[in-house]
Amino acid sequence: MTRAKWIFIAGLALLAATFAMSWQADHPTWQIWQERYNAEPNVTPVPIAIRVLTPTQTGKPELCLTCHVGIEDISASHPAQTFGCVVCHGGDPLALDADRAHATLRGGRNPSALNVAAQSCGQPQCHGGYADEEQNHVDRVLKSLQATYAGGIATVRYTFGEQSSPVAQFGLRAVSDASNPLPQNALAALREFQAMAGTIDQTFQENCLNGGCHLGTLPKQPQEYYYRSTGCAACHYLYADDGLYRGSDPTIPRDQPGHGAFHELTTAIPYTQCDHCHNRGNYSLKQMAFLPRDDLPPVAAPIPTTMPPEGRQLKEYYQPIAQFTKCEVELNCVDCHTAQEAMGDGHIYGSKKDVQYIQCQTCHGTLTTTPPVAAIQDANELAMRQARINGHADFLHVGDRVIETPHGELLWSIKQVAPGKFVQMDKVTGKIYDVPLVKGSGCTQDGKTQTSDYCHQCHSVVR
Amino acid sequence: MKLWRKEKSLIYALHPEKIPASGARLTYTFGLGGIAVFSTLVTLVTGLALTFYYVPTPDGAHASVVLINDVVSFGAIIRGLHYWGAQWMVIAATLHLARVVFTGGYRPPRELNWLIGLGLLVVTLLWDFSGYVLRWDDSAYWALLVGTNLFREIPVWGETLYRALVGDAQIGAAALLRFYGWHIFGLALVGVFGIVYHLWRLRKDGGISRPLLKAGEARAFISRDELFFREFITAALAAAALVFLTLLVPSPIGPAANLDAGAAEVRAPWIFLWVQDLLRVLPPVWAGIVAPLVVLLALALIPFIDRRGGNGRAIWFARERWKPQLLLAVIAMVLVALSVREVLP
Amino acid sequence: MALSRRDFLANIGWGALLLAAGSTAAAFARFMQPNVTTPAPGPVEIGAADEYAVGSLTYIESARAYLGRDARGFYAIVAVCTHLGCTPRLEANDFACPCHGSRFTRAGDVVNGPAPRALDRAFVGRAASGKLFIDRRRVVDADYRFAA
Repeated sequence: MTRAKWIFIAGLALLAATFAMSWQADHPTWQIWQERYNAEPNVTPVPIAIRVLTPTQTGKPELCLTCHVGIEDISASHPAQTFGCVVCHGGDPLALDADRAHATLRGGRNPSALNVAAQSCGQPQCHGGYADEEQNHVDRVLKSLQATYAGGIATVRYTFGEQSSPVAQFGLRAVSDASNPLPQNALAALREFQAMAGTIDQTFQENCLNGGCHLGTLPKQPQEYYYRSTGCAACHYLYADDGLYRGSDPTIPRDQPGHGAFHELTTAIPYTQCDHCHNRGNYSLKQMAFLPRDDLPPVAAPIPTTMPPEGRQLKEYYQPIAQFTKCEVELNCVDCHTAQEAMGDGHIYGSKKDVQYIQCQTCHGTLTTTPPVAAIQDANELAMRQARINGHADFLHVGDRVIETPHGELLWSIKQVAPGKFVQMDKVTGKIYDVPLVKGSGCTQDGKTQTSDYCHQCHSVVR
Repeated sequence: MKLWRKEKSLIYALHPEKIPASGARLTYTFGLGGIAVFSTLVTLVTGLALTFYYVPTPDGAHASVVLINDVVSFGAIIRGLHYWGAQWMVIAATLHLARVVFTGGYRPPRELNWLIGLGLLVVTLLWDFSGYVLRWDDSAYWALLVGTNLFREIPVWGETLYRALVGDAQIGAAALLRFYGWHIFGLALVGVFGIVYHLWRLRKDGGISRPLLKAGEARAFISRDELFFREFITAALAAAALVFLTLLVPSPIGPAANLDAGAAEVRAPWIFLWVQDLLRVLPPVWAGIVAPLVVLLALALIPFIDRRGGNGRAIWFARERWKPQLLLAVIAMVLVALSVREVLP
Repeated sequence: MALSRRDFLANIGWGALLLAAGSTAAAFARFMQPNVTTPAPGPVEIGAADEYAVGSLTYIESARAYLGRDARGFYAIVAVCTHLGCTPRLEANDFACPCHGSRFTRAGDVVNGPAPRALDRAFVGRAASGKLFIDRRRVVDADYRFAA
């Protein structure tokens, strides 16, 4: 070949190489996400550029928002400007390649998964590392019944003769409590449950514990009404019944079920969230299986928010055969069940009856007494903080009297507005309800034998 | 008045006036030595560019590499050219060594140049290893840990050698800084000087070795013009190929170095996979220090186990030179087999 | 044959040059030796005693050691393979080092692989804060336990 032809080939090859280099440098993968975000309706378009967030707490720049442009702030208590993303999620703050950025994420998509919660949510000075156990939420949850499943395990083993007493010995994780003295009915330790091959335990493990309803695993066959997360997010990260994301992060597909409704944590937890585990069906010990209920209609889509329209609650709330009162089908679970009931009090219990203690009389009182109250003394005490975090800071003030439970918990959303007159605020909608008291009413119960099941005999809602 | 005259240019002076056509054929040398030099130039230039962003501290190293890769304009390309240029350097140098053995280019008077070339191969491998460590990701950290702990195992002088290499009682900021110093300066000094000496020595020894003339045959030559043209085109095409390779296959970077106990598999850099395999069965000093030195010594002795002049020069696979060819073939097969064994599950 | 004065002086000169070169090389070798080294890390505080259940073996990244607890108390196995220093990972019933295939029992004894001896043990104690600490500078034997 002549020299000219060689020079031609070499020149063209180098020019092609230069063009290819420039083209690749001009089309980074993160650009796609920003373009997609800008194409959405009702957004202010962002200039196509790398977006740097330098949280004030760490001072180290993070580039997560380059792809996750438009993602919601996780909560008012955890603003991204202060905390950034990496302190909770882990990951590589400077990588703009998805695989590399996400390779070191704690817990994958969910940093509150129980196996990593202590390093994410439970970091010292966050929700862990305090002398006062009330502030060590992660530690409390890890020991709580919903996480250890100690009661379920003990019942199965006792029923099948594997242990001679119904007292719980095993949990999904080994936990121990060195407190001295232990409260009544509290256990010192649980060992880790390990199913022996070829026993009923193995069927129990496969059918129920792997992909069953407890805080540590995702549902085996995610479908409508079942979508949820694990760990702290199992309660605090709301999922719509259809499992679709409705926020504005362009990297999260809008049509792929299995994502929370918004990238937000909340304490205003509607009943639908609890219902993604509870009231989904019945257990059969004989078949060692869960029998899902089949009486619910398909989820109406699209649902604008996770707040269901009025009237659904009664139908979907509880199993068809049971009896429930008006407050149970109008209020949310969190309006009555307390933080200690749901998240544990830092001690280990082996049965729901030792944990769940709220009764009708806790709020409604008895024939002879009104509910005991305590006054709010400090603007920063627990009840006030709970009210603020819930988004209803104006409901409660220092000096207000709120109901105090037999375990000493203050029900911040039920306050005494006049002697003998109480109101309750719905923690999700903010609606105010009057709380009728038993004392002075026409109730014909015997005060000495009054328990909640008696109340239901007269006060059940007719379906 | 002309500022530039071709016959007075430096490039002109660097090339001999005419060289035997047989030595300049692509099917003889495959241009491997030239490609090795070209790759060195690419890594030196891209290396300079990288020093403007790379931070040689344990806290900053990995983050700066991620920054170069993902944030800096054309950073991924510069880093990729540096990475692939470096791997090409190793491969070209190794294949060049094989070419020289299989064509007898080590024969007198070229024995000293053979040793210089072998030294350059060592420099190239050390360059590759030290560059690998500078990433300060998972694999780099383990490679540095094991590599330096190997020196500790040497009797009597082990701890002293370790401290000279690492600059501290254990690896950390001092080790990273020292490896950085070797990588961007120490090895560069030795390498550039070695390349210059290697090329000068080649000319002094009479250029690329050529076969003896048959009876009645006249030797054909090409001019320095023609030689330089061939080098220029080869370099241009090699550059284009290197760029396309970089664009298609990104250079790797793993997660930041951490001492977590989750590593399922730790793999040495590809050039030392065979050493990792040996370390599983032989004591550390034997596998990690003695074995490579023995291989190096065997290669160094090649010109001295075949000292004959005469027939068999500059011809591929000449039977008279069976000893060094067999030796190289055996060494190559053993190293490749050990490396493959390490990689297979 | 007697040495001429010229040759003698030249030899002295060459000898001196050689000595100069040699001592410079020695000086450079000494230069490369660090005079100040980073001390080995001291006691590393970990969690409270009741965070670790009896029978557990937990990796503590900050101490680079595994904290174990049995009926007799706490012990720490240093997570540094005795072969060439990689971190062995805990599998179902033993430790496996990912670098060159050494395996150790849960107690740290060598099962197979190139490791020459069992994994080292470190001291476990309780700090003033009430939390446990691991001190790798104090080597203890396999029988040592810290009774919680």
